[in-house]
Amino acid sequence: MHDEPTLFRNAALHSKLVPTMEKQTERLTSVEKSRLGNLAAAAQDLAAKARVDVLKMISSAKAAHVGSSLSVIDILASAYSVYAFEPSTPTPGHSQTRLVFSKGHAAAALYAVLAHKGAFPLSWLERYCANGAELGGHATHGIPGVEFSSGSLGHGLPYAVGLALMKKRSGQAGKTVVVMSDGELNEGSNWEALLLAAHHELTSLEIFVDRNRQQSFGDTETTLALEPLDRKFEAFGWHAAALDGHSHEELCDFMSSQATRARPTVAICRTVKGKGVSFMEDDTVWHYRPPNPEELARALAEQGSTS
Amino acid sequence: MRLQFIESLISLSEARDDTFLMVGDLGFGVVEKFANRFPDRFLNAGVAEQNMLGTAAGIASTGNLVFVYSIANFPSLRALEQIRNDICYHGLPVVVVSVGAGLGYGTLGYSHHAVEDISVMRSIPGMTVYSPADDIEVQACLDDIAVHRMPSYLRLGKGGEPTLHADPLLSRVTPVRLSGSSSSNVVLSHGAIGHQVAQALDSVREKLRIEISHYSVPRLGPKGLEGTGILHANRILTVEEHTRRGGFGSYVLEHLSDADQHIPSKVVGLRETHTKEVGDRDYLLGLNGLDPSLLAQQIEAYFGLRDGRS
Repeated sequence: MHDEPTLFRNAALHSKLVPTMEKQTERLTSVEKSRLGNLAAAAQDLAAKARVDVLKMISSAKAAHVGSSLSVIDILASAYSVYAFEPSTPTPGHSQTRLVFSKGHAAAALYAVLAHKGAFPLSWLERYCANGAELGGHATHGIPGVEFSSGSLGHGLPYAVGLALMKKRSGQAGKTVVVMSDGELNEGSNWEALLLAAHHELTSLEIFVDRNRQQSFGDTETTLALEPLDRKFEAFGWHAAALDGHSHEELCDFMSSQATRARPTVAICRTVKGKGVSFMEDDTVWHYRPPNPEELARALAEQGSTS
Repeated sequence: MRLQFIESLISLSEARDDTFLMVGDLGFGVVEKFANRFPDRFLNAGVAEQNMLGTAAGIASTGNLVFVYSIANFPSLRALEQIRNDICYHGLPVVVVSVGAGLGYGTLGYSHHAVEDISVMRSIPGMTVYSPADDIEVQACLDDIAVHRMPSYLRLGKGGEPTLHADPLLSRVTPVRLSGSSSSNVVLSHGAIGHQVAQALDSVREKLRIEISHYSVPRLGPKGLEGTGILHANRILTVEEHTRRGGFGSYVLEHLSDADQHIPSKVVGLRETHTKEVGDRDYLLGLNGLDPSLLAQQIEAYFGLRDGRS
């Protein structure tokens, strides 16, 4: 396990939270621990399958963004293991959790996870980005399970703020989940949305930031520095938690929390771009390059898969 | 026009519970009546238009007809990609409402002149542009929007526009003949500039003794000129308080092209410059050749040449 969540650097914020959101595993019953363990195991299994698919999809399509897809895949696999999503496009007014995938360029990861959750046939993945195929290079509404089309950054959170506002005003249950990249936080629209969500206490909102510290030209901190990111969120009136974005246990633990929250919440998930493929990890070139057949074979071998 | 908009929206909202009004911290003295009457269906999103339009898409996706109210280019150009991707691409019922059409905010200068908005908005697939000429057309536009529940752009005059229509019952969003009986010579206007056009036509008719018909065209929808006789005119002149590039005149020309009707047509609009002169709307309309007397000269020059054939 990594560091404890740095939720409450700000004591004033901490005192307003009822109940506190420290890791809940310490106060779980054995039944709950067993359930959490099952969720984490399911997420791990889902992520492992999706990693193999993502590598094949992107190699076959000669597409980009393999690094981004591999860094966010554990967050997605955990979310789709914990939250109750409808398997098809949600209908207006439903009360379940809604997920907005704002880093649309990592669509391969979202599509692989959705296919394994039964949203659409696995065969669609084989035609990823082919001419006339169902699935293209950015998350697109109309694909079963995809709430919102993204691709241009900084659009997902404002949309989710609208969902969360109506959820609050209509008294509906369920969370409003946003998965976004860290480079995406360069966009001013996100900071406008953070202001509005905090002002209206949209506590159903949960953001998962895929904090892989890489954007198009390299390190986020040398491009347009985000740190101290948790304190920026806190200053905007949000709860900020730190998670290991590749630990299914930590992610599922956090996502399962039913704690009553006084503020919207962001989980800054430490991730590694290209996670799970040794020669891709933390290398910016895999934002652009697809693996060639030889590289694909090596990458799949690292997943324990040869197919 | 903005007061009529709020009154019409309140009436609509009393009849149905799925309307929602967002404002970008603008509309002081205008929107409070709605906000007090329907506090759960109102939100001031602050001075943050990108987020406002994205949030509007989210609210609309839960089954609401969302009106987003601001002025000039703030709810349109400032948040253009949110309108394109979040609203139009998803086909969500969001109505972008901009007050201060054209040169309405005259002395506030170029930043506040909405003179490229029609062109930009109507270039997005799925977007319908409405420019009412008076309060009666505002009501007609609201009625149409409420039925269609599609992405829409509603361009409102700043206020104080005279009423053009004699009979509210004749008002609709398809072209309405305001004056004249000629089926040959046709002037089309879009928005509140129709008042200046009507004044200009009064003096032209008196001077030239020719018949010219004047139609107001509030909605730029697909096939919006069908069934009106306009497509069988001999000469058409269009007037808009907007740059000619891609605006109302372009809409008409594209329509004639699609219908294979090759009718001589002249497009009248604003100069294609950044307005640097200071002045109110009437003064700036004059600089642009769009005040009643200069409009009359343009109409005369265009139709007068054809006097013998009209």
